[in-house]
Amino acid sequence: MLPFRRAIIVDFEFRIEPGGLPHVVCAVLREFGCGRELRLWRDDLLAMRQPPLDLEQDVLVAYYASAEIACFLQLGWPLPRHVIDLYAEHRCLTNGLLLKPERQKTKSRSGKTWKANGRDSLLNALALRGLAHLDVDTKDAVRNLILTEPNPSPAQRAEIVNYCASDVLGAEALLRYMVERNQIDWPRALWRGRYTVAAARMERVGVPIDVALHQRLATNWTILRHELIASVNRSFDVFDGNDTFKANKFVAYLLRWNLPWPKLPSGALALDTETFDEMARFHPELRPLYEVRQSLGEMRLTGLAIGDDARNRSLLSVFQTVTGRNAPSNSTFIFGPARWLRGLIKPPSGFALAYVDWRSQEIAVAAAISGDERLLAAYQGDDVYMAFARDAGLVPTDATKETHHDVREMCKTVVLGIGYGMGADSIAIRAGISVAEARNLLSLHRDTYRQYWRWADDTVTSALFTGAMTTKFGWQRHIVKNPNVRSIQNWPVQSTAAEMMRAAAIAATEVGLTICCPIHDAFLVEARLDTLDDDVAALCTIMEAAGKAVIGVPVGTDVKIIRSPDRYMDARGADMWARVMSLLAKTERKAAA
Amino acid sequence: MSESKAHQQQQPETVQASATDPAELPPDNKAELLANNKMGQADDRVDQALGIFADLDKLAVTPEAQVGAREILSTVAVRRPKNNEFIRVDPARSLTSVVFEDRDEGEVYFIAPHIRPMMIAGTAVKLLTLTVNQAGVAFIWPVPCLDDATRRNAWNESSRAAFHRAQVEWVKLVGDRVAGQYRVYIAEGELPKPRFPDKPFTELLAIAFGNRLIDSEDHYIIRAQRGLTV
Repeated sequence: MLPFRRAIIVDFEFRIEPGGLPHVVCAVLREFGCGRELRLWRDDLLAMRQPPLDLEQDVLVAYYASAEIACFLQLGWPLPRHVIDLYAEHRCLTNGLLLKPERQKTKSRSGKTWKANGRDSLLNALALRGLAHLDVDTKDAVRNLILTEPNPSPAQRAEIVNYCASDVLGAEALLRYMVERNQIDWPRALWRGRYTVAAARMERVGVPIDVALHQRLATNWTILRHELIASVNRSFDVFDGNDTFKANKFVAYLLRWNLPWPKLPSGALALDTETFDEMARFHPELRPLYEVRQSLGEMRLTGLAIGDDARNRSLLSVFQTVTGRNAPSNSTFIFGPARWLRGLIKPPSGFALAYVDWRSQEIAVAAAISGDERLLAAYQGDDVYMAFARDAGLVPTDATKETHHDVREMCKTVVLGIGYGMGADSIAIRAGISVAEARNLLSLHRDTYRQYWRWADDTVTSALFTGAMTTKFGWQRHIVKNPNVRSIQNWPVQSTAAEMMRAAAIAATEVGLTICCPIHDAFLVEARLDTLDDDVAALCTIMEAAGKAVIGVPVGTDVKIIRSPDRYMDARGADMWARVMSLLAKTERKAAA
Repeated sequence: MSESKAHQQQQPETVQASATDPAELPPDNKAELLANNKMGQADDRVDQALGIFADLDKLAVTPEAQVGAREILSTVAVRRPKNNEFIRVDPARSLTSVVFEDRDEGEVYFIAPHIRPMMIAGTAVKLLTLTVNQAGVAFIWPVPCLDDATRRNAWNESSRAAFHRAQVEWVKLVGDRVAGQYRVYIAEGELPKPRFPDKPFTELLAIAFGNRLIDSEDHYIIRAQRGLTV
């Protein structure tokens, strides 16, 4: 039973260049349950000032609705008040389950697997539920036609519209399946739908990029890459003569500096991006090496999705992670892991950017949802790491950051490590202390913040009992066989933080702030210089209120302003940026000579 | 690692003069900003945003609304509770029977009534009871019974005590070799109801003892006990 008079299922076909805005090709709208259908080609759509639905009374239903909303925005249409994103609902219903659709339901003649087609694509959402749909190969063929044929013939147009209509039929079948089984939790599904609208708005704004500098870097990248490796190699000696990173040389480096490093179960060093990034967080001297490794692939630079209007636009990939956080592409999104590249972010003339982040968001969430008054007091004090040192009796009560710097750093490692779900071994490696010391610190943390740990233990027990976990606003996770206990323990904090982010994104975009993108626990907002102060203050208030609304505790924010003609710079990429700029100047001078 | 830091100092120092490092801006940046803006004056946008949050509590999920996941019942183990799981038992789905315990292999066999006289050793009377753990996994727990043939010991006594408690609350059995008994722990939290499988007990027993049923004198175990096989 629908709680709306009408549900209108919508699908658009469009072309889009990397970093660009959608070029709308056609749309099909279908009224749920009665079969009334409207097929509109580009010319029809451009001529319409309003979408053909009741914006207040109807509910718009789509699979991956942010794409449809992007087309609404591109057409200059007002947005519907009620949106259901079947993708978000599918993700919520199946989150954590390792499901595979029945192969025959996908009807792929080419033998494409469910993985190649995307586990959470409409095709597979249908296949998982045993609902037949369009052949995978046909889908690919029409997608290709849309992308490559700017002026399709009447027959090709018919083919494209029919394909679009088949997706609408698929979405309708999925909606019917969910409605009949009472699987749509309407109030919370509408809230998630509202976030997909916010995501579409943020994706449309994008991040302003210094394209001239980006072009210079791209032109000289082959030489720069070699020079970068050479310059880093002078300190680290971990690349061979072919500019290839060598694990055995890295082992020698670690031995030379007596630096412990996490290992894989096989005993080999863990050299993945996340481990390197984490280690560089605790050992900043490794940061240049991390940044160079991150930048080695040419795609890291040229893969950034930059539109003709000098904006970086990347799909936020909402609800894609198990915690419900966004998962934008590391290669196309400017806030991917090569941090020095963020120096390319530059507000246009007359504008400024503000990076507004929640202060120690995860600690605030952990303290609030666990109900640990002592941890909350530590968070609300001046320095959460010193508070732990004081609460645990590691330092005198009048100790400060200045008088006990080393202890604070150690406590910081422990507090952050616990937040990342680390055990004593990992914390010991990162803090440069023995495992016994790390165990002792963990034990002190357990004794100091007992309520938090009791809650953490109960969270795991409860999750194992019920087979599922749910956030306050209904994002859920199923627990299947052999769950990772630390991941379960950390999930409520991360997923609640994601709820805060969604709440703030909805409010900030709906009141008209120009949000360029969300970044984990922060937003990048753009404003004209004359409205900057008001806009940033409004965003701060909204974020703090979102914290209060989601976890019951106001969560403070920090603000960093970048006024034109300055550029953004991440502290962790600043060395690398300086290195690259110096090499670029040298390379260009050489070329000019 | 101080020498590594020295490496950094040898690197080019020329950061672009225009670069602003958000992480290193003075902490009063926000304060200055808030001082400059029109805070204190009405900002309709903030009021509108706060209005969005006003009804957010209505969206809060109650524990009853949470959706669980169930394991498909393809196998049912016959075993003791592990020391890391809380369990509940269903006394209505229990059966007192004679089983054969192969202690070497850790296997329990169900003995058909007409075969029992042929068993020479290794049999015990057990209460086969349907049990579920916190993850909703069902298994058959052979609870030792008090009979004349079975020696009284603290392991069995504590197992039986745990079985009785597990009828009404979640319990955990942790073996204590020094004390020679199970320590029985009760879950302290307000935990959900156990999710027992809805299959009939006979069907569950059939799944559990599918290939561990001694129902013929030609069974390998009977033949082995009678010295008819190697």
